[in-house]
Amino acid sequence: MSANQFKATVNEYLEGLPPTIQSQLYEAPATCLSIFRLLTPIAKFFIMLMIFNERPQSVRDLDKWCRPQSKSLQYDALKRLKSLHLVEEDAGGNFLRLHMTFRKNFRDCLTGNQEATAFGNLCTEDDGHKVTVAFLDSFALQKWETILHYMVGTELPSKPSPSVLSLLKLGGLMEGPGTDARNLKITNSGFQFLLQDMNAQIWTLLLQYLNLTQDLNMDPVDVLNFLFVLGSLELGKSYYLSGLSDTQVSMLADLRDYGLVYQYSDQSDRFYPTRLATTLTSESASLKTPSMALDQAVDTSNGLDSGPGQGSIILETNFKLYAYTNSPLEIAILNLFVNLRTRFSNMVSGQITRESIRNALYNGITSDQIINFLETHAHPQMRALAKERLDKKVEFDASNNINTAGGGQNSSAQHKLEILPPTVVDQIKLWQLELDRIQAFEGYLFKEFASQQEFDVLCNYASDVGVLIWSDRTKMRFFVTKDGISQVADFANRKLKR
Amino acid sequence: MDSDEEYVAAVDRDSSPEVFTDDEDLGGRRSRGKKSGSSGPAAADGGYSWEDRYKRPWDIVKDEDEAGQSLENVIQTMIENRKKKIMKNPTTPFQRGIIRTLIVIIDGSLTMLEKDLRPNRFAMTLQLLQEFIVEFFDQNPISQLGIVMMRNGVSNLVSEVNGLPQYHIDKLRLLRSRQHNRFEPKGDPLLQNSLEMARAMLKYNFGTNMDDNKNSKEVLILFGALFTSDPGDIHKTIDNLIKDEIKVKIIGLSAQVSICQQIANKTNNLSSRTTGANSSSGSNYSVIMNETHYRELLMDCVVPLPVAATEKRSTVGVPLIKMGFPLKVLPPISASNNTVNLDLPVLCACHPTNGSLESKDAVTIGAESSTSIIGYQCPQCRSRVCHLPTICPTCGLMLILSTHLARSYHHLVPLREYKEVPAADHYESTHCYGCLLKFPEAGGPDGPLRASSRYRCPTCARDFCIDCDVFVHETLHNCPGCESRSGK
Amino acid sequence: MPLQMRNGNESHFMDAIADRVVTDFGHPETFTDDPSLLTVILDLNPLGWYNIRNRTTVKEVTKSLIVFMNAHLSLNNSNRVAFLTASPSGARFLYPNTMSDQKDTANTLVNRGMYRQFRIVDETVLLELNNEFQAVAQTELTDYKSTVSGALSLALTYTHRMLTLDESISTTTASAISTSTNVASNSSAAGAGSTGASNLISMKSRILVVSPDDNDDIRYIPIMNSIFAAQKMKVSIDVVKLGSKDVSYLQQAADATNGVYLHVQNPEGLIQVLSTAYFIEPSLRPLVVLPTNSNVNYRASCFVTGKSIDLGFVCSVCLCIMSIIPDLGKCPTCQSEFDPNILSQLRRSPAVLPRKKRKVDPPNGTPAA
Repeated sequence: MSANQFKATVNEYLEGLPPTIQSQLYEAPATCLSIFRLLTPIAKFFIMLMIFNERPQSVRDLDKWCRPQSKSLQYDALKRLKSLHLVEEDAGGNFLRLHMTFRKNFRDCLTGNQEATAFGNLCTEDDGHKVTVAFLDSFALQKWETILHYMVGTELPSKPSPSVLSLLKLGGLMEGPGTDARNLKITNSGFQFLLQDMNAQIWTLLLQYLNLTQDLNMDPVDVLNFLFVLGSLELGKSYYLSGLSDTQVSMLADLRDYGLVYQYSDQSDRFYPTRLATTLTSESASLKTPSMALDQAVDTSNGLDSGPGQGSIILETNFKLYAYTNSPLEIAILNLFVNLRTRFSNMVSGQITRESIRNALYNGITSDQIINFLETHAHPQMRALAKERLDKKVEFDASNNINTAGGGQNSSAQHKLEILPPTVVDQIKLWQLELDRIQAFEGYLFKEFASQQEFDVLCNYASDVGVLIWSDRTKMRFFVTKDGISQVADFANRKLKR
Repeated sequence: MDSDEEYVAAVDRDSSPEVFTDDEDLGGRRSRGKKSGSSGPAAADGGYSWEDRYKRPWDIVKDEDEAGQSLENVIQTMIENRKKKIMKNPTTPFQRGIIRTLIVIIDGSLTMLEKDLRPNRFAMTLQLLQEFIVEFFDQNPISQLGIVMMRNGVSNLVSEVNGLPQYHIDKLRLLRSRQHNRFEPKGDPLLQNSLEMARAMLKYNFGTNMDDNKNSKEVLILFGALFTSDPGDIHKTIDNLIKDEIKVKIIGLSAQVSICQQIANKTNNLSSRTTGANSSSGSNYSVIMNETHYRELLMDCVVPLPVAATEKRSTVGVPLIKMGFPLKVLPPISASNNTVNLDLPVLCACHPTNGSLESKDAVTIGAESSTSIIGYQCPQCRSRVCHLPTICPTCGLMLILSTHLARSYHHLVPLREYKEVPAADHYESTHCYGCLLKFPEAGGPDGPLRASSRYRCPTCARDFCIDCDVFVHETLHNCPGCESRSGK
Repeated sequence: MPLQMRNGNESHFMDAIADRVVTDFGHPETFTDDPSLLTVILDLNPLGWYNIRNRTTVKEVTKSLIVFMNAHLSLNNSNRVAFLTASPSGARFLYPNTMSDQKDTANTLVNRGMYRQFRIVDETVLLELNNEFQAVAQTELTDYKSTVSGALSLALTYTHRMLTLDESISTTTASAISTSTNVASNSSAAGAGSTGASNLISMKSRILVVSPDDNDDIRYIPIMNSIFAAQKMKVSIDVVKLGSKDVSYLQQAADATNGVYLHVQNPEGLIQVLSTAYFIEPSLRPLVVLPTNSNVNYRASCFVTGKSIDLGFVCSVCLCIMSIIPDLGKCPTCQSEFDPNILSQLRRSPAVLPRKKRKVDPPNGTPAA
C-alpha cells in the first residue's frame, strides 16, 4: 500500500503537468519506461494492448476484456491514462489511440532501438577511486539519516547542508525564522513525512525540488528525465557525466546532498548512483529502511548473516509493542505514537494507549499513516503467521471445485492479509473517529427525477462506476463526488437523448 | 520397605550425578539390571525412562559433535535429516486398488473430550479430517468416501457415500459448529454397529448390487476409547467383514486395544501375532504419539493400498470396469451485453426437480444447489450431469475424465528415489540441475563437508538439491533429468 | 473489513468505520503489484519447424519472444524471466545460465544502448540459442520423442525455487537455512505438507509454451504429472500453437491451469498476438476475461486402437483404457487376466423380452354377449 502512495503522489504531479510538457517528457525512453512502471496493472495491460497495433482501439473492445466485477478498476485506469495524455480519444469518443511519441519511444526501448546514452553512459575503464556497494549504501544512509534525525530533533554531529534545509522549509516540513539550523521546528506535515516509507519520502523531497527548479529556470523536463534515468541505472557501476546536459550536471551537487549519487570529488567526471537512486521507480519491497541497512552493514562484521529481515516490530493483541531495533531514528519515530516503557540492549517495548495515539493525532498524523507504518515495519514472523491464517481461511471457504488452478475470484475479494491484529487496527481508527465526528464530501446532489426508473438507472450506473456516496430511494435523490459528475452527466445525456 | 529403598536410591542418584556411570553396588540393590551409558532412549540407570534425568533438547545437539563444527554445517545436517524423514515414499510398484470406497468412522464417545490434543480430541479429529478429505480426493479422484460417527451407543450417518469433496467438508463443518446440541461426544463407543453400518454402505457401492470386487473397500476407524460395548458378537461381524473383503484400518488415540488389533489383522489377512510396527507400507493399527504423528498416520491412508499377493482374487481374474468419458456440453443459448445477462435454464439429471420423489433425499452442496452452466453428457443415456467424476443417475454408468485417471498413474509407476552422493573431495556438478542453485564446494573454509548436499538420480545421473528432491517426489513425480533426454 | 466487535454502543461507530472504508476514493487499487516470473519454453522440434518454414523461421519467432520478455521485465523492476528450450539434444535452460560469464564487451548481438536489464537477458538467450542450434545439428534424430515434458518439469522446479524472491539466496546452503528457519518459526500446525510461508514477497509465475509440433505422440504420463503439479502450485500454462492443427495435450494443459491456448494461423504478426492475448499477468487473471477457446477435447484415446472413445472399459490394475473387450481376456499392458464372470456379463447383449400378443378388439367394440 505504501508503494501505491508514492505512486499516487508522483502520478498526481505528472498529471498536473501541461500536455506540452508531457509530450516533451515522452521523448526520452527512460522516462517512458519509468512512467509505464508507475501505472496500475490494468493500465499497463491496456497500453500493451495498443502498443503494437497500428489501428486505434475501440472502447467497447476494452470493455469486453474486463470482467464485470473489475469495471471500476477499468474506469480508474482509463481516467489515469487520459489525464497523463498517454491515450487520446478521437472525436466520437469511441476509439482510443496511444500518444505517438510515447509509443514510438516505448517500442524502441523494448526493441533496443534507442540511442546509446539514453540509459546512462556506462564507464568501461577502471576508476582510480573505486567504491564498493557497501560503501555506497553507508554513504547514502548517512546522508539520509542526517536529514531525518535532524527533523526528529536528535542531536547529531553533522547537520544537513543549507540547500536541504531550505528545501525542508519550502516544502512545509519544517518552519521557523531564517534558515539557521537551530531555529527550525517540525510541522504536522513533517510528522506525516516521517511516517512514510523511504521511497515516498524521497519522492516528496524530489517533488519539492521540482517545484523549486521552476523558479530557478531549470527545465523541468530535463530534471524529470534525469531522475527517471537515475532510476534505471545499475547499482555499483559508475557513469560518465558526458552524456548529461548542464542542468543535469548542476543537479548532481544537490543530489549528492540527499544521498542519491556519489561523486569522489566535485570535479570528477563520473558518478555512482546509490541504492536510493536505483530504487526510485521500483517496488518498495526490495528496499531497506535506512536503519536496517545500517544494521546489516554493522552486523556483517560479526560474520553472521543477519538475515533478510525487513521489519522489527511485533504488535500483540493486548496493544503491547516490541521493536527489535537500536536505531535512534526508529525509536524516535515510535515515540510519536507509542508509549515506550522499557529499553533493552536490542529492543524497546511499550504500549499503544489512548493518550499516545491522541498525541499523535493532535500532531496531525492520521491513523492510516500509523497503520501503514506498522504494517511496513512488521516483523517477518507476523507476516508469516498472517499468511498462514489467510491460507487456511481461503481453503476453508473454497466452495468451487477444489482441484482447479487459477483460484476462485472470491478468495482475494473476501479475505485480505491481516498482518496486524484487527482489534488494534480498529481501535486506532476508533480513536481517530472520536476526534472527527463529521466527514464532509464535496459533490453534486441529483434530485427531482421524472420517474423511479430513471432514478434507478442513473443510481446504478453511479454506483457501478464507484462515485456514488449516498442515495435515498424513497425520496429519489443521490449524491456523487465532484469528479464523478462528468461521467454521470455524460451517461445521463446519452440515455435521455434516446 | 522396598519402596523406601527405591526412594532413597532415586534421591541419591539424582543428587550425585557423578555416581551415575560407575558404581555397580547401587545396581545390585535393584532387581532390574543396570546399564551404564550416556545418551539413548533407555534410561542411563537401566530403569524405566521416566525415572531418568530430564534430558534437555539442547544437550542433545551439543553431545553429537563438539569439535569445531560451524553452526551452519550443524544446522544443515539437521535440516537434511528432517527433510529426509518427510519423504518416505515407497518405490516398489505394487498392484494397487485405485478405485476405492472408504468409510471413515469417527469415535464420538465421552473419551473424545480429553484435552490431550488441542482443543479436545474431537475437534482436532474433525480438523485433520478436513485436510485428509482434500488430499484424498486429490490423489484418488475416482474414489468415494462416506463418514459415520459412533456416539452414545448408536452409529449415525454423517455424510453419505459419494465422490464430492465439498459435500463432506460441509457436513463436517456442520458437525463442528453444532457440537453442543446434537453432536457432542457422549456415551459409549461401539464398534459392532458402526462396522455393520459401514458394511451395508459398502455393499451398495457404485450404484449396483453386484457383490464384485472391482474396487477396494476400506474402512478407517479413528478410535479414542479403550473399550467397546457391543450388542452382539463382534467376531461374527469380523467374519462378515472378511467374507466381504473389507479392509479395516484403525488409528488409536489413547492406547492399544486388543480387539482393534484383531480386527486389523484379520481383515488384512496378516497373522494374528504381528504387532503394528512402522513398515514402509504402513501398519494397519497404530496409536498416535502426538499431533504430528496423527497427521502423518492419517495422510498415509491417502495412498492406495497395495493388493496383497495372497488374495484369492488373483486366481479368479481382475475386474474390468465399464466407464464413460462424457463430452462437455455448453449452454444452448446465452447472451450478455453490458446490462443484461441472459441464461436459459437447463435441465440436469443430478439436480432433481422440485416436488419429485428424488428431490426429498437430494444431496445438496451448500449454497450452490443450482445447476452450473457447464455440463457433461453421458454417452450411454445422453443425460446431463454437472460435476465429474460421478455416477450417472439415470443409467448407473461411471463417468470420468481422462485426467482423473491420469492423476492416479503415478501411484502405479512410482519415481525412483534419488541417492545421496557421498561426501568426496571433488564433484563434477556445480549447480542443481533443476533449480540452478549453487552447490557448496568440496573443501570449504570449514574443512570437508559432512554432506555433499547432492542427490543423484540413478537413471540419468543428474544431481539435484534437497528442495528439488522433495518437490519432485511429492508433487511432480517426474524426474526432470530423465524427461530431458530425448529418445525412447 | 470484517469487524469482530459486537458491542451495541459502538455499532454506529462500526458503521462509520465501514462507511469510511467504502467511500475511501483515494486508493481504488486493491490489487498489489506483485513481481512475477515468466518462463518461456521454445519447442525446437525440427519436423514442426520444417512444416512452417514458408510462414516463419525460428529467428523471427525468437525476436518476437525477446521483445515480449523485455515487455514483461518492463512491467516491474522485480520481474524475472527464464528461457528454456526443448530440442532433440535435450531440454535445458538458456537463461539463467550458470555456465556463461558476463562479458560486457564481447558480443554485439544486441544494441549496446539497451536498458541493461533487458540487454543481459537478450544477449544470453541469443548466444545460447546459437550454441543450441549447433548441438542439435550434431545429434542424431533416430528416436526423437518430444522433450516438452522435460522442459515443463525443469520450469516447475525452477518456479518452485523462485517462489520466495530473495536475491541473496544463491547456494543450496542458504536456501536450506532460509526454509528451515521459516518452517521452524511457524507453528507446528502448518504440518509437513506445506512449503513454508514466504519470508519476503512471493512471486507469482506463469509458463508460456511455443510449439509448432503437430503430432500427438508424446509421453502422456509425465506431461499429465507436470500439469497436475502446475495446478497445485497455481502456475498458469499459456500455449502458442503454430503449425496446422490443434494438439490435445497442450489444450488440456492450458485449460486445467487457467491458461490461454490459441492456435496462431499467421505467425508473421506474432508480436501483436503475444502483446495482446498473452500479456495477462497472474495477478490480473481474476480480473480479465481470458481469450481462449473452451472446446477442449478431453476425450480419452483407446490404448488398443488409438481412436478416441466415449464409452470404454478400464482395467482396474493398470488403468489402461480400451474401447473393446480384448479377445483373450487379458489386459494388453499389464497382462493380467480378467474375471470371466464380469466379461460374460459385459458381453451380454441386451435381453429382449418376447412381445405379448395384444388382444385386438372386434371393430364393433362390443364384446360377444
